Amino acid sequence: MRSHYLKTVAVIASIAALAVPIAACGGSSDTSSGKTKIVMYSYYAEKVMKPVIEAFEKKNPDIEVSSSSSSGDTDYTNTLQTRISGNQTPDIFNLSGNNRVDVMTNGAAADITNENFVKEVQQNYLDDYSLNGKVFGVPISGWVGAIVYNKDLLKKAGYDSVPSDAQGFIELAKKLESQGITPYLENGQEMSGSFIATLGSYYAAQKIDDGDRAIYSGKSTFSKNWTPALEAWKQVYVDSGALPQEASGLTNDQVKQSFLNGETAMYRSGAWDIGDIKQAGINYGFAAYPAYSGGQPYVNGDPDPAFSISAKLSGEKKRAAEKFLSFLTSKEGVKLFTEGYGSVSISQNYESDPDEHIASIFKDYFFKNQYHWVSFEKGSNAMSAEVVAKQQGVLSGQISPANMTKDLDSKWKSVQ
Amino acid sequence: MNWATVWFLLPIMVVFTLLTAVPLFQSIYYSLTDFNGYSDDFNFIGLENYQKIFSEPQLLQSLGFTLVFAITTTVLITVLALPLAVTLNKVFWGRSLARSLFFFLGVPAQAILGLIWRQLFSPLKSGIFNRLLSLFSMPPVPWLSNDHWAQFCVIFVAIWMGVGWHATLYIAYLQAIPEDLYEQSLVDGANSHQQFLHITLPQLVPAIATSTFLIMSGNLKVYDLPYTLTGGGPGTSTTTVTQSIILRGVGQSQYGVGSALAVVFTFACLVLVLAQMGAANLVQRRFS
Repeated sequence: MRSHYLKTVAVIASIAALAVPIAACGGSSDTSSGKTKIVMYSYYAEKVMKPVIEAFEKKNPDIEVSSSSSSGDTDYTNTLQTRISGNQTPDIFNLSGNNRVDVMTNGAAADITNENFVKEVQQNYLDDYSLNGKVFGVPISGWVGAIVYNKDLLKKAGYDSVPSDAQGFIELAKKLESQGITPYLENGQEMSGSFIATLGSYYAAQKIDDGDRAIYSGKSTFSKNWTPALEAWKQVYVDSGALPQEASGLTNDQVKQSFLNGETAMYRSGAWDIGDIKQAGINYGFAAYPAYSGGQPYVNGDPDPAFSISAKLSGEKKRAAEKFLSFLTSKEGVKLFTEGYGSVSISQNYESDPDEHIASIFKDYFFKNQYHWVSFEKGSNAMSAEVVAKQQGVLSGQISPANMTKDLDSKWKSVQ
Repeated sequence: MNWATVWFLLPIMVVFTLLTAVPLFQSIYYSLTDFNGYSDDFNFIGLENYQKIFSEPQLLQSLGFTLVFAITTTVLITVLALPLAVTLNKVFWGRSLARSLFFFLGVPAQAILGLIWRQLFSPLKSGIFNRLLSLFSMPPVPWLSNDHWAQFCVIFVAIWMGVGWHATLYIAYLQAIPEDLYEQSLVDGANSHQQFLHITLPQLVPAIATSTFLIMSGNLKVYDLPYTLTGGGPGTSTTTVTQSIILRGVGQSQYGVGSALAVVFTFACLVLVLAQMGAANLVQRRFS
């Protein structure tokens, strides 16, 4: 009898022990302190958002912002989608090039067209985050990706800077290679920045307006719009030996390390690496990617992921979320954000002061719309993965540019 | 009815129902729809998603690599862990340290080990293994930038991680083999080779069945290691089925197709594991 009693107690205790953590998983999103709590899932790291949130909460003591983030486009997009599909849409989240169309067309983001904070950003930066004349996200800063070069290594090869034409770039690469230096590297796990810049330059040279959108809308194909630029890219970067095959197995950190060690003369980067480059004592400069024949040099760039409010919000929570976005787009908010993220303001409320070496890239390319980036409007992660897989094939000589674009056309059909 | 048993089983049944059975039935349900992961407005489309997955070469390729990975690691881990366990079961100086070292190889998360090995296998001349090769005047190896080398690296790291852990499992079984069996065989004039073949190995059949079951079932659903070590590349040479499920379901906003792939893969694993268990039972009966 006593044994039976003990067993029963043990079982009840076990169930209770299990039930407590399960119960802790649920619960209300509002605090008991009477504050309105809003949940933000941020594309940007905690160190970027924390100063902004702290300043906001100081000014709005009745609102508490609970923030979490993911690193990298793919992780962020996947997690956000999973949360939306599981009815756990964050109150504030980011629209990036990779998820914007899906989120907007499926009604997950609130219409913020008439909000005052949207009016501080030029319309051309809002275009990506608009649908049928309505604005669903507000970006506040922009980024550029370009060639970072080691001035000392280039000087040894007889150059002061990176040539802006393809032939000059090929000659530079060959000289560097003959000296035992890897000419150029970029992250092999992402879409090639050098190719995307070449594509932008090609579109401009051929006066193709919105070439990527023409593909997405079905008016053109990857085979038609991408193949010439891809062939030019292969000639300049792959056939010349400027970008070695090993790049396909490298991450961004490995590429950067190779540059900081002085083994590589040029790599693709942006403001995000300047601190590390300075710390390593490298004498560096930034340059645009060589132009497509008959065109202008281009860089990678785009407005940074925009901030959006969940369409499901209402009442106090919605007002709190709007207040947060108002603060974020104010002079103080943009300043704190851009300083933390190392990007440049595209808000009329604040003018950034970027690092002197990259300032000319922003001034001469970004603000003159001489930049390009590829964001697929459907199945972005799958399309990006397909591009990466195929470009690795081109880099290793396993497939031709024409076959790559043909495969991309097939993949594009499958994601529709 | 033993109520204590029922009550003790209840917590795990609740966990199993919530975290395994419900998601499985949800996946079966979604696999018959065009759910895109964003909108609740979706339609029932029958078996269309299942037709799609059997006509895509990329999905079949990821299935191929997953099977190669699971079978190769199962065979090689078993072949290496058995003699290692026998060796570590002998009495020698530093035995406890050696056992701990091998066991702890597999303790860290696969994702962390993948990131560490990624640095070691850097295909650059400055990569750690390539530097070692250069000491012997050997050219650098394109570890992670060549299809076959990348597949080799993923399988190698999985074996490296698994051998110590499974050797520990075998040691536990080895210690349960009655000593008098060996003593009697010595009286009969058996040498150590014969002892291993006719006593140790048959006694270890249940352990081998358990170990191979764990390796096979774990490695069929492998995700972290290839994802962190190679990202599934170069190309799609090291892409696994689980990566394809995520890429197709979440990445392409086609939860229906992703769910169909997951359902097919679940049942394929079930068949494979049942076949393996059946084979293990036959072997066990032969030696019992």
